[in-house]
Amino acid sequence: MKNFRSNVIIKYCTFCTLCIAIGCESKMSPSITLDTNQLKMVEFQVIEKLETLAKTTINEPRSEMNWAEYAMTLDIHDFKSKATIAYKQAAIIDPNDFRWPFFCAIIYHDIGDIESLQWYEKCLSIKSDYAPAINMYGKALDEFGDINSSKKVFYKALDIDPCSKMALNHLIKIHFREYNNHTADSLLQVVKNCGKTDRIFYGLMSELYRRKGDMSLSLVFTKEAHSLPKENTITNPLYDQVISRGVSSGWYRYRAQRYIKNKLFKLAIKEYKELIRIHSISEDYYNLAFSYEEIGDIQKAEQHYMMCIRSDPNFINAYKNLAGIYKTKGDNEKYLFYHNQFRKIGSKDDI
Amino acid sequence: MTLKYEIDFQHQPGNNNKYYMPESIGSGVAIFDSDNDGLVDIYFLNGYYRSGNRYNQKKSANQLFVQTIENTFVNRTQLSGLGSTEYSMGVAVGDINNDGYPEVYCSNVGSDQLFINHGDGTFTDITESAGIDNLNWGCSTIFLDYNQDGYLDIFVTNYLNYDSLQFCTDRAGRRDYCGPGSFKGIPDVLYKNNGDNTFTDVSTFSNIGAASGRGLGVVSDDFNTDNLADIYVANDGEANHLWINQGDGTFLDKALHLGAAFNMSGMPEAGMGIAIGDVDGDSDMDLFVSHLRGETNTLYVNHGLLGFQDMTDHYNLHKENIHYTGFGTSFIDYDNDADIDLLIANGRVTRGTLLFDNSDPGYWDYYAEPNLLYDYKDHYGYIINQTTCGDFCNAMNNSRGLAVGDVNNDGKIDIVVNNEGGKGKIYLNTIDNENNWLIVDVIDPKKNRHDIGSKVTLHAGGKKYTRLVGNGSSFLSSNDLSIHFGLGKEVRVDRIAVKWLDGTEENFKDIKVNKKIVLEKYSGTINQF
Repeated sequence: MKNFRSNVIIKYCTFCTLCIAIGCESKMSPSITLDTNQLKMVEFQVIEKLETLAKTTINEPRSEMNWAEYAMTLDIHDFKSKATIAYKQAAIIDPNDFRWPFFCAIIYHDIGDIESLQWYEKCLSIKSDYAPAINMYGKALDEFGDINSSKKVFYKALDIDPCSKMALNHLIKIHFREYNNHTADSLLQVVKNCGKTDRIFYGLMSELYRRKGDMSLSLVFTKEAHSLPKENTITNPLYDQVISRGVSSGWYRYRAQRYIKNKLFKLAIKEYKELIRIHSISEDYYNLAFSYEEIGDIQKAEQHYMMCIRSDPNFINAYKNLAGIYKTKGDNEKYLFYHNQFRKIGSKDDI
Repeated sequence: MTLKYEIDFQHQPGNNNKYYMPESIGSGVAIFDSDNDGLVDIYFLNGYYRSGNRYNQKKSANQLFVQTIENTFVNRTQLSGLGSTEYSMGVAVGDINNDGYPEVYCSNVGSDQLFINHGDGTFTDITESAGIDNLNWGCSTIFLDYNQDGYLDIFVTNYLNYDSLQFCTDRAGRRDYCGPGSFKGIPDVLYKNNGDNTFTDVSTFSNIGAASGRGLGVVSDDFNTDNLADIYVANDGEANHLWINQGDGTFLDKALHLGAAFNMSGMPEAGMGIAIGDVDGDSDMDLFVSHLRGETNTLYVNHGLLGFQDMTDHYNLHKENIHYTGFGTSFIDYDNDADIDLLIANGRVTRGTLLFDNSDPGYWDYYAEPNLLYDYKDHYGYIINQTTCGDFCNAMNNSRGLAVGDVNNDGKIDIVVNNEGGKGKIYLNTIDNENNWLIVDVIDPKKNRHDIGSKVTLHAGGKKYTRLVGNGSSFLSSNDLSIHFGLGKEVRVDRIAVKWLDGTEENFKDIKVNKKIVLEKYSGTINQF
């Protein structure tokens, strides 16, 4: 079975020495300056985009979307503290859009700043039924020590979405903390009835049975958890709006790999084409070829497998897949060539 | 509570924009008495100093600072022979030949090193003759006597199979350090001491070599109370190992069975450092494992034969530290109030938001985080104490190795930290209260050294406090081997019960407080200073 390669590693960008200061001044608007230190080695297209967006906030300082676009782009490229300034400006211009205080809250939350609470509250005062914000607010309340409010908030999240995994998981842990095992048990049943029995569920089931003194069953659940993938599948669709602003090679690769995992090959191809234009590695050519093959565009698949091999002559799976393509085509000579190359390189990893 | 004492040590990770992954892991530090003069010395490990592709080894040697009179340290690196110029990670201190002088083991990126102590303040590298040949990326290391033959054996965690040609970037496309997920873990190593200054690699025979893992932290204790030393390894992003000693030279990994592999949610975490101590007062050792930001550090409470339970939330440790990446960590009673508090040295492994105002931030400032001190309070668990913590918590560094011990012999535990790309720091404990204390050395005269692996339980005022004799914990570091008890207002110690490594028990009485005492095995002897 063919696998796509999930690899976040990329080669060094040789032109990333450009340093630039982006400034914007207006009587009404905040000033955001990225210093040369921060911009050192940032990929060129990222700087270009930031520069363009900074100019739009100068030219149209009363445009909420200009500030929001700028904020999201700063945010997703890890200029977090600058992003909060821009989010706040967007929130001032349009106090009815819950997204900007929400994204601002996430940044503060991430660095452990209690200011996140007020931004979650602001977000929820605009859109009180937005479940991801409610859940994140509940999590932040718990982390900042207000357990009772946290519980209330998570139960509110369950009123909106009775199967909210994040709310259920947190509430179970809070009830365990309070030795309220019966309620934790009931909530675990809810998770089960919702069909959300992932690794965390089995971990928490193991804890429940440990508390009940049934160590054998506890071990059974531990082993079940151990057998499942580590991935946390909680997603925040709104935050994808921020993620979609990422123009660094890392973000193109991230989105492309996510699309492949979800078998959205046409979307993956779009991302890989952009990535290859900027800065790519052999895995990118391979995954692009793989995506073309999956949608039946064999010619482009063949072409990109070749480019993968050119980039890394030891990329064994590219030989294997090419051999497969030529076998299907009935081109025995090429099939044998690539099959032999595949065998010569020798490793059977990833096959 | 802590006052920074400047020492002339600069950690050199060798960062030259090539983002060599060991730079992000840092180096350890040891507190030990290198020359047996009664004053502890400090040994900082170092990376490489690089200029282009050339290494300037003089600028990057490990450094030994010998305490000549209280609070005065003299750099004796050259004289001591401990100035290793390898890319050093972890340090362990233990007397391998029972001559009363502690040896030093350095785990390196590449060949590890063992230095024998001649007893006159000098050491010689005996790696080759000793049969030490760990060429992997060694990290935290401990001495333990797993086979109870009276000689200290060596356990080395190995991290991962690193390929320096791999490139990783941050979200802006800037080059940054790779995470562990890019590389496969490798097996750890166990060396058996042959009793003649040589060692045999028994990793395969003992089963230790059968399991791969990205090992970073390690501690040893008799976790299942069968009088045999077991081993707990914190792995980065993978299940932790709990090697239960079978008594025949082999070990079995029982972490999954005993609840110490994953956190309560069944998730493996990025295990870094380990603190070991009796948090719940039941005389067995609990484990606190530091982790990556976004994960809580995790407290595994030991319930004896029922195994371990993740009680992070119960002890109120699920909050503040989730925002930081923890490395060095230790349980100490910093205020001598008779409970064990908790230290965590923090710092990021990838570039992040500046957490402090700095108009001209340096390379490592984007990785810097504050250290944390947690105060233990009955009925509440651990309460963060950043207000009276002092310089240890106010400093914003990229901290890694952390070791603890009473550096200046005042009965209060001090802290030493090795900061990635920064100055080595000694934080002297300046807490001013009337609480009493006791410092105990537990010596087996036959071995001529501390009886590593034994347990000491102090009974006073109807309560008991248990400590483990062992210096290997935290992250890449080695603590002072003397045991410290804070006694609060207790002025009388009823007795001290020592459970020696071989399982025998002995009681000591007539103990005065606010002293350093030495307990000698089977002699009932207490030497008070």
